[in-house]
Amino acid sequence: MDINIVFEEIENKLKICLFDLSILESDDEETVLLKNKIVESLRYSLNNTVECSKLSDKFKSNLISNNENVQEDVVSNDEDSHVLENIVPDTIETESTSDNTDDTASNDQVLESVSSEVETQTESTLDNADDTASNDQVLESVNNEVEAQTESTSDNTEDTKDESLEKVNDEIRYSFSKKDDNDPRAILVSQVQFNKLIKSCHTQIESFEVDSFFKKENDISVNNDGIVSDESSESLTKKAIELYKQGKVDEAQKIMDQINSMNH
Amino acid sequence: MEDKIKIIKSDGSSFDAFLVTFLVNDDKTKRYVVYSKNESYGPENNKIIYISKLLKEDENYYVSEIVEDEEWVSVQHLLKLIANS
Repeated sequence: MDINIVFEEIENKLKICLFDLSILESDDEETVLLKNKIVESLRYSLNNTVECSKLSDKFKSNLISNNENVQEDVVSNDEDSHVLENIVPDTIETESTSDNTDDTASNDQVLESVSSEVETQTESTLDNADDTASNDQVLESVNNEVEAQTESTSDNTEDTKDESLEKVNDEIRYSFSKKDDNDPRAILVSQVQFNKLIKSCHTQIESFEVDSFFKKENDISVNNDGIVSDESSESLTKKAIELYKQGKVDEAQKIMDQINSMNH
Repeated sequence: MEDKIKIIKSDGSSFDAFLVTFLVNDDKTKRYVVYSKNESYGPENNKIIYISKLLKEDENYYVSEIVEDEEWVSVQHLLKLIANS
């Protein structure tokens, strides 16, 4: 690559020199002497430059043999270009240049194809514009599909609700009727807090004093006649005794009253 | 295991929920039911819980919603006593 660059530099210099020589059209002695000196110096340069050995023989011979008639050979741009053509194939850049030249035509073809593509796209765009109305139809159909899906989803939801109701109905512990239409107040708790609240449920029920409504069946059993079983009665009595021992006389008394009221 | 409860609205419709716990105020004059609908919120999956007031009439319990802010604050206090214990 470096050699090629040197080649090009020398070549350019030579061309410039030759061009300058062509300007020297005068046939006076000074001009002829100057020409000769230049040619000599060029010859010297050519002979002493390694890179110049790679110059085409034709170029060298044209140059060297042009001692007496330099102007004719050198000034000719055609020959010059012809000489350059011999050098050109050695350089990749020129090849690519020629390829580029060839590509120019193909580029035109590409451009044409691109243009046709643009036209096609424009046509398709226009088609899209025409399709705007059909898009509305598509939207309508999509909406219909969404509605249908929503309906099916709601159906599924209803199914799920029904299933869950069936399952839950068997396990529902308490049932409460609402007294008003207000929405319940809600609060966010962490999972840890949530678990603590769940664990506290039994304790909290006990703190409700004695109320059969909140007692689990294994805690207290009431028969159809409203009579508390012996087992629950005993546990309540024990609890009442404990409360008495703790000095909670009123609470203990309430439990005893509750037991009595249930048994009568 | 969480117990399930059923809340029947005034229009006759009902929904099921999971019983979380009950709350009782200090003088045991007011009782509340805490329940969830198994709803989570946020990246930490915080639980949404609902609190309603329990009213006893003729040996039956009804739920009524907390309207007064003052009462809501006291209920939150009761809740925190357990949740942050």
